[in-house]
Amino acid sequence: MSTSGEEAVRYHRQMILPQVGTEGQARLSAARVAIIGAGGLGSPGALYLAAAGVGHLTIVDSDEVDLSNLHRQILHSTSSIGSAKVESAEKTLRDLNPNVTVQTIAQRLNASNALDLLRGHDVVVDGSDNFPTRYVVNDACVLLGIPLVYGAIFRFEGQASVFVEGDGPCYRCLFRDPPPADLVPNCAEAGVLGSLPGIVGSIQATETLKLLLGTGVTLSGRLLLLDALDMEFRELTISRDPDCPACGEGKAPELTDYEELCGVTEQEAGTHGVPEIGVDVLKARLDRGEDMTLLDVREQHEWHISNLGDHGASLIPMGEIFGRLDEIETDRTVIVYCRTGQRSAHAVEMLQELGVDHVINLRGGINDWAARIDLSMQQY
Amino acid sequence: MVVVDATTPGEALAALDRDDRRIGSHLFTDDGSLRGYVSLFLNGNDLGPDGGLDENIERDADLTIVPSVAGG
Repeated sequence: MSTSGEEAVRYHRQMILPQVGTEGQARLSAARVAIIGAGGLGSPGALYLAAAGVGHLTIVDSDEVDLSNLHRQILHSTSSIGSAKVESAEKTLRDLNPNVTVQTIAQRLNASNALDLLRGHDVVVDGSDNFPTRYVVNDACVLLGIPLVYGAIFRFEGQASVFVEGDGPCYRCLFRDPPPADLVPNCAEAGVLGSLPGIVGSIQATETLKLLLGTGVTLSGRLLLLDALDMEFRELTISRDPDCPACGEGKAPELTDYEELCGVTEQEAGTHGVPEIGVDVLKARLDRGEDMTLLDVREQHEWHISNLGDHGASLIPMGEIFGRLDEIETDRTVIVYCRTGQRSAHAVEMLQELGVDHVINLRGGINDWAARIDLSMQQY
Repeated sequence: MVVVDATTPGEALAALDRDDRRIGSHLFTDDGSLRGYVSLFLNGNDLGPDGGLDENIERDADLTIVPSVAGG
């Protein structure tokens, strides 16, 4: 079968849509889309855009595939563990549709490279997993005038919109400033339902195809909220902020790296404003036989991966602390740990508010213990 | 959904804060303005960057708090 004949068959079911047709398919084939993040959102986004015949996909991600990614990041498979995500993505996408050009950028998008990497694309899809990248992507899209298809997830909840389309609002019209990291846990800390990014990422792919085809009504000026637990969608109206620091009248954002403001290093993030010790100090205290209460605030399944039960730790998941306060021996120092020290920092704050005087966070959490003290312990 | 007695968005959020004192610090800065990573919507419409905290709202108004999330 000739290439054109193969493509006519491959795309037939969407080409017979009057909104697509031969002309629309040619538009898709000529289009260039940048996908930021080859994770939970980027996976379905990239898969559907490649399947639809979007001619050029640029995939930007600096991470490697980890076993803990695979319950939601469907671009990758068990055999890809340890590979660069962009390499894994390229392999999967080429296998799905060899007609698509996949450009891989194994870098984290930042203020230095964003304009160069995004320039020349028709649409940018934000599937990143952190605030610094989201703000840089938005500001770069404002400067370059590229529509930005937004998606974000948290536990069972999702958000989607289209920014920087025509006179529509941008991300910073909705959320002007990024939060400090200690107030907002990431997926690794908060958890996420595996299928949730499948829904939101598919919405992002749909909006991207509509933008490329110039058909339908996009989510520009609207914020779509998904509550997957009750399976409810809500739609809110977003206004463009005339004083927006990015797209406001007479404003031109200077690209800024927000790492410092957002405090992306989980270890630093979890330490904000609460007393803490490192794993080496905890080890020394344990070796001295110091009397302490060692409290693990992770979930039961995480306890099964790794724990400090041999050192006297007990498990009370974060959400059960309030109801099980009487189980915590608070007449001595309470040292709280989680995976990386972020959730436990919140637990320390909570215990302080509940009147526990001597409570300390374990900086870096049990993963740091596994990395520096007990090398036989599994990290996750 | 939580039902509170209030005549402005600011009063509604203050009522929430009275019920759970940890909410206030997530919503407001020390000087009482709405944090930049929270958006408020009244009956589905964006209240803008200052959150329209002093706007009058009618009985049965629907105030939605949307926090920014970054998971991907």
